[in-house]
Amino acid sequence: MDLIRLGRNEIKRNWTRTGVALAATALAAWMLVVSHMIPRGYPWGVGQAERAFIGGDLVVLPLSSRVESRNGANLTVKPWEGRDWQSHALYYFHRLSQEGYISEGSLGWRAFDPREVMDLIKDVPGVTRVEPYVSLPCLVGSVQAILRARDALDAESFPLSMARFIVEGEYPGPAAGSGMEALFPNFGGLEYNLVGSSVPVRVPRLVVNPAPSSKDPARLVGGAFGLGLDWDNGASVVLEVSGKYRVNTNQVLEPDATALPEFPAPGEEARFWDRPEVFVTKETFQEILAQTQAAVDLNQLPTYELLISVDRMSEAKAIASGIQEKLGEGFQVCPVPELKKLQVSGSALRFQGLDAGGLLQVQGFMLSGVIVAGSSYIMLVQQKRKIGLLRVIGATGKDVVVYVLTIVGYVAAAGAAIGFLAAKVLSLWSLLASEITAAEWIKLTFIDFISVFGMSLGISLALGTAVGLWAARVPSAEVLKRE
Amino acid sequence: MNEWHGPILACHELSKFYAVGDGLFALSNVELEVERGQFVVIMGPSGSGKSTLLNILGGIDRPTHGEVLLNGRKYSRMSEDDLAVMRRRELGIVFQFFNLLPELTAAENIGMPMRLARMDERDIMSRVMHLLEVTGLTARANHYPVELSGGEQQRVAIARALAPRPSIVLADEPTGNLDSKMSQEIMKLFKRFNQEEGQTFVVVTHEDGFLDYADTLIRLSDGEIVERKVLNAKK
Repeated sequence: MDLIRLGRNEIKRNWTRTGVALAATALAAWMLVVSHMIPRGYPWGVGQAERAFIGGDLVVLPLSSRVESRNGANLTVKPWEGRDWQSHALYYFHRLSQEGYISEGSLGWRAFDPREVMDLIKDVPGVTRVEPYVSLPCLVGSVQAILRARDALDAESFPLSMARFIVEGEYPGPAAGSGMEALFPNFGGLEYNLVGSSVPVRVPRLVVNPAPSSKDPARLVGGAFGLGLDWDNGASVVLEVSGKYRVNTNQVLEPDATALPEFPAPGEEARFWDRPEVFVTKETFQEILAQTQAAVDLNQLPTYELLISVDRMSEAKAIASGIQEKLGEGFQVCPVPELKKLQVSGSALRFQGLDAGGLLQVQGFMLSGVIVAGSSYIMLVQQKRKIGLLRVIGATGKDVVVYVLTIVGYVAAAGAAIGFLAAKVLSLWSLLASEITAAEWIKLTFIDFISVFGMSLGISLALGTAVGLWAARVPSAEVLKRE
Repeated sequence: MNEWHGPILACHELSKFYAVGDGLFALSNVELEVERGQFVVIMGPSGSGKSTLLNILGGIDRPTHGEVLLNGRKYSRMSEDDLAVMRRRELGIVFQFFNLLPELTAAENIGMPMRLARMDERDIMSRVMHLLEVTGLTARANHYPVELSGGEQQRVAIARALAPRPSIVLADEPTGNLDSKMSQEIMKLFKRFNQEEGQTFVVVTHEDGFLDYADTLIRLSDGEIVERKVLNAKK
């Protein structure tokens, strides 16, 4: 129809304004596509030592994820009632034990039944493995340590392998006969235990208590438990040292140190590499639990931390967001590499903010839509006489809206196409150095195409309709102006 | 299509008042009836209300008082959309300054009202070709207005007004911007359509030459009709 041709020619005639609108739309499209190229995670090798030692790429902690409230009255500071052996929380939130954390009435720190939470997480795209962090405090002689259940079979796969940190001996195998093997730290006062030697270890009896708070735990996934320790009725077991490890990335313990570091007490900033975890297999851990006569089986043991492995570290943040969304506000999902960063910054009470990327993309297109519609409006204000003429020769208000939307639609589509193509050429280059396969790149391109053109046209046409409705009210008498 | 047998265009007690300064009546109690197929010329000195009258007849301007009827239908209080629909079917308007759409070619300008009226594309093309031929613009069909002379632009504007076969064509100083030779051509063109297609014309002009082609002369002065004169009996 000639109205469309009229609109197209109008765009060409007003090239300066059209150029500004085109550039704005192209920039918004470019930003959207490029933002998809920026990894929502970390380089493949980042924090690898920490990930290996912790046993996952992400951790889930039972801390409120709410960091702010529209109603400040709801915010309360909760004391952290946890202990270091329960989780790695202190490595993220250094002053947690001193200052507590900000919460909005949630139950707060607690142990939870991992099975229900794991069920929720396992279907999140990108999650390859979910494991509860299973541990108990113990005394190796007189040295405080953490007895940890971790099988070699499902944890020793690269890149989460502990094998490269083993300085002597090997990872414990399945319990054979009466011997219970363990991988011992080569630091923290435990380095004197020789491979092959038997080491007496005192383990407390674990007592599982119901919800430690008067708040209703039923609304929380996994419920709420408190894990008590009964040292008087624990058990003394003998562990055979199968190997010794030392995680030596970033921080190397002094080999000739005479004074061994004290186990970090609550209230003290933890030093990651000093964490004296004694690794045993799950089977051995179960046997120790039985010897303490704990009234709980390993499989039903509540936990304070979940360890999650992902298929791609470059998407770790995105996967963490997905898990956070599934679990809601009662949990905090932290990518392990952030631990290192927080440790360096030394900041306290850090909480993950919202992922504002999507919001920014929409805002970019909103802005470009305003520019497109605005430039069309300016164009039309100067063309009121022409609209009056269109009315004189028979154009209805609807025809005028079509005319305006033609102008807006062409500019938005052309701008989106320019930005999309420019960004995609760039992303072709990035494809060479990324983990993304060609098939995934094509899929992402399709999604980008739909997003870019959908948002650009959708927002611009919506705003353009407002301009069109204004133009439709221009009376035919405008044709008489300047006559 | 049209079963109305009364005057094709009529206005009764038509007044237009501008509340500027002490107030001004541009038109005062104008009574006018135009019969189907008539060629009416409206003349008068500058400021006599000729263009105001034509604009009100064309539905572009609104009267302060009185009523305008086209084929028996009152339209001076119609909505803009209803007026647009009425104009595209029944009323063509020619301006002194052509008012062509510069982004469209001559042929596209002529076809525009028919396309707005959603006519069949084959009919549109055939009508456009016919009008281009009648107006002597076949060779200029694909030229843009800026590439046409003043006379050619006015012929395109006339063809555009006539394209949807309206009941009546209103023309405001159609030769006011043309030299005498071109003016003669435009007058002849009007008369040709009047005689061959039975088109009704109401032309506001200063050009005495139109009197040779007109059936009726209306003379306005100070917003009032001061003379009505039958010039030629309709053949």
